[in-house]
Amino acid sequence: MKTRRARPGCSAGLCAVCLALASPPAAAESIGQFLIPTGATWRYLDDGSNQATAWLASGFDDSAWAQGPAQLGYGDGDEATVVHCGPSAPTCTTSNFITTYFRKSFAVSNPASIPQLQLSLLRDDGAIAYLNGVEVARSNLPAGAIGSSTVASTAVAGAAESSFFGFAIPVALLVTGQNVLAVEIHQSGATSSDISFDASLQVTAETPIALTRAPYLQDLTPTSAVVRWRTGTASTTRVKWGLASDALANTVDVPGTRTDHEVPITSLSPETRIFYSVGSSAQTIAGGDANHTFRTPPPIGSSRPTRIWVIGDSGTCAVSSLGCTDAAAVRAGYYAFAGSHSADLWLLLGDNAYNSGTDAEFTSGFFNVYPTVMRNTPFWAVPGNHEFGASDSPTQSGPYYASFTLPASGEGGGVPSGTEAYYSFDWGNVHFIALDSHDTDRSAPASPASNVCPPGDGGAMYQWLCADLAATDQDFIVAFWHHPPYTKGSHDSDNAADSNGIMKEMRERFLPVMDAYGVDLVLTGHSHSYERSVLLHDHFGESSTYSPTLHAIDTGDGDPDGDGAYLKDVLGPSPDSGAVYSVVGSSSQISGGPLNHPVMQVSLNILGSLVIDVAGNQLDASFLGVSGNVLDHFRIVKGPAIPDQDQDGVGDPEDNCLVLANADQRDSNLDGYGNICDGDLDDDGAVGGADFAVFSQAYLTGQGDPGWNPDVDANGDGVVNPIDFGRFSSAYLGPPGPSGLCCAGTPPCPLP
Amino acid sequence: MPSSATRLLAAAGLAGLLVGLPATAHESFDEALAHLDLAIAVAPRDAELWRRRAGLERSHGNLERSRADLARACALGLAPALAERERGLSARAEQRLVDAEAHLRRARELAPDDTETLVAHAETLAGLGRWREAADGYARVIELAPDAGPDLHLARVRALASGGDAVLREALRALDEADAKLGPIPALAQEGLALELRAGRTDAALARLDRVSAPARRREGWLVQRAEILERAGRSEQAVAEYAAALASLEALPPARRTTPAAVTLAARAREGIERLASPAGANAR
Repeated sequence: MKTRRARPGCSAGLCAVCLALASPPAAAESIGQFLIPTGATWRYLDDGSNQATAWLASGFDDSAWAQGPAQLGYGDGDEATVVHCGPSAPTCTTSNFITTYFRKSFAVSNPASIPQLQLSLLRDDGAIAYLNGVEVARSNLPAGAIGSSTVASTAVAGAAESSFFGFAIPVALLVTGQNVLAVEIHQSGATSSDISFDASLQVTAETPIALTRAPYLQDLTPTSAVVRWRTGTASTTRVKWGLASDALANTVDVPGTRTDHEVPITSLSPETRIFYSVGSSAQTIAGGDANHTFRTPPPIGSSRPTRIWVIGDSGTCAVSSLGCTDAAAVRAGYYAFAGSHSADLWLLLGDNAYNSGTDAEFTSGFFNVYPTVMRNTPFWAVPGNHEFGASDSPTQSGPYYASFTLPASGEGGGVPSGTEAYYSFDWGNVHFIALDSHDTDRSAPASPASNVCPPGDGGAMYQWLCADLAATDQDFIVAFWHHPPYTKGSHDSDNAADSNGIMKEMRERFLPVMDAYGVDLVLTGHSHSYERSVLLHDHFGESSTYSPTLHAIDTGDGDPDGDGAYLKDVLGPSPDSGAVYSVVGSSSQISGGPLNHPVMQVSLNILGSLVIDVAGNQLDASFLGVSGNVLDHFRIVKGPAIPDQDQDGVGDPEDNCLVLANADQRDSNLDGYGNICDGDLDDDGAVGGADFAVFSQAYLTGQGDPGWNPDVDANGDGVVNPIDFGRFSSAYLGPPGPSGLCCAGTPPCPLP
Repeated sequence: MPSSATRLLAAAGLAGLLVGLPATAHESFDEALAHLDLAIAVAPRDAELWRRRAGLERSHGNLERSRADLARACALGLAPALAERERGLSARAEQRLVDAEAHLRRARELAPDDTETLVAHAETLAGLGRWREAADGYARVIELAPDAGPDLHLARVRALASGGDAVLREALRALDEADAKLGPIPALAQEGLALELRAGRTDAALARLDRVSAPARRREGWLVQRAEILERAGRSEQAVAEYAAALASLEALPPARRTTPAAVTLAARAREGIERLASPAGANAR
């Protein structure tokens, strides 16, 4: 048995203190531990003086104060320490002191180890408590400044005289070493015959934090993302992320506590699947599983298959009289159509929360409707008219702006707009432009149809749009805002009085810019229907001025199985080459209307949403009904036709496997051959015995298993099984590929 | 047959339901008005409904009816700050700017941090040519709304700039503050160039242009503008070089990009600039 040797100078009576001094730093505080127990000995001042604020400081010298164990007080007969009541003592019937002061020092070895602090306070009549000089609890005292003559709000009597009241105390106020809890007890009046005081301070486990807005993904770029969520109570903020759900190796903490959590994640790699969890420093609230994951976009300008989900006027779940059936049905239709091929990104066309876009309506009309979509799919929004019952664009204030993080600084590509009201970003080979049609200055130059983008003319949004469109070289340009330039649904774009003339203004002022810079697709909402135009250009007037001969570049339906796709000669921005205009405003209600605008190829009074697939030089848009059925389909093909032998949407010159469809282009060993046709595991140019040995070692393993080798997983399903062996054996004794990439066989050979 | 009370209750219930429905999402002016008419019929003592109808009427130019509704709203106890703001907006819609300013000033005194009132007041002051107070008003909004967007910053700068050359530097400082908050956005950059040139500070204008154009992926437009500034300053050789650089940059673009209206216009401006400077008059200016 070890014996403790006494330190020099330690007398027997001081042994405990010496041992404490000799010990290493105390261990972390533990759950349940009382930093101050009930019945503790307190310093107190019972002379009726006014101590103002100096006595609150932890360094205040209270050695001249009396001390005694709790309960402290007078007049009840249950006190362990009786304090002085005033000049009428011992009867204490009149002129009693209003305020009595109490202080207690206590030590904390490791504040970071304390999840939560609970103060239990017995007070008769009122009390105010300070931890290290900061007010942390107030009970039965009025609001506002408290002085030595402030009386308690009510006289306490009966059981309340011996009740403890609980308060959660911010742990951030604790410091390593000595801390001070200071408490004032206030009488309800000078004739009140008693006071009582006791208190405890206990380390408690953090109570489970309720998630009131599930995690959602914002402002995703090839190298960064923003993760947001909301909690029912203020908590610390932490995101953990990594490349597998059980290996979230990276932690991002945001100092302080809050209910609305917004965490930027940086240093990501393009085209990488990220898993994440959200929570506080003490607990994970959501994630850390296979469901909480997203994939970063490809490098800006690169051509990859991209799926986009589009909904408009979707926010009726916030309106109890309209119920949530229709929005849920539209969501179900998207699920049915997408299956496992969910969208890479998601566009919201405004009126996301009826009626006024309050915070509560955003929660019930949007965040509570799509929690399982938004944890995987980043979204970009524009405001509709209903957002502006509670939000304001010039000041970027209100629930819309508080809820979303949108790229005002050009961080996702595009020219900085300086505002989240309108902005742009890139995803792969698509440039997206978002405008605020309702609450931002829509000024344009005089004669906007013929005087497009003169330098320095027009409002800030107009000037920004001109600069942004002039700066993009992307293959496709998609613009979206709320008010449709063409509609005969529940709104009429010919009626200058409808929606304060905004539809007319957007058409006359902004469409010439769209035309001049070769925007391909314009998405809007507002009318609660689906309307979709032919390939259209140079039409800025009312419907009566529309002439198919003058304004339609292609009057067909754009459907490859119908009249044929819309063709545009140039891959990239091309002036005056026409755009398709689509109203997608039926994502939670339908409101009919004549639905007879002559530019429209299709007009449907049907609930639904739009899915857009971009692959190489081809854009396909499908309007989905509530069962996932395609009710309209059109295609835009740009540039000279690019051969695509395996029809996987990746043109042959950029396809790392020419004859087997692999839209994902997965090439885990970066040798320029997609895994689907790469049995050459040792990169010697042929699939042979050595490759078989490599294959065998990984056979029947799954991702994360010992021996797992991603290069052997031909179809990318996370396991190496007979399907992969089938692919391997069919290529055995042959070369890998073929690949369309020039650098194939000489790794690293990244995708173009 | 239901009693009149029952029918009234049923109508009230229906109207209550309608009041809860979107007021403007799929409504024309007439529908929105009918909606509010019905709501007012159900709750004729609701001042807010009268105020909303006054606003709707005002936004469609029905000023007399708007005035009447507002008077009713005020009689029903509309909050004084709101009442003054609405009176101010009405007076402004009627082009009675002096009255509007007085009402909005009172509204501002009653609700000093209401940004909607502050903006309306500042706009009205600007309309009256009281640029200093307008600029101060916009500055106050920007102070209260730290995320204020480009429109408010531009309004502040333009209010100051309208105060004459003596306050150009102050306008430029306001612009720089906006620039620091919002980044190099096109409208601010163009405003800055115009102000610097108005102040005769060519090099400062060029520096401003260089700052905003540095991160731009496409620089042709900025190059032409730079050349035009240099040309106006009589720095012809530099101007010619910039025009030529712009042309070279345009010619390096893919054919489709060279034929956009903007690119064609830019090329024409660059060529015309070179021709001007090559002419005898231009040569003399060198």
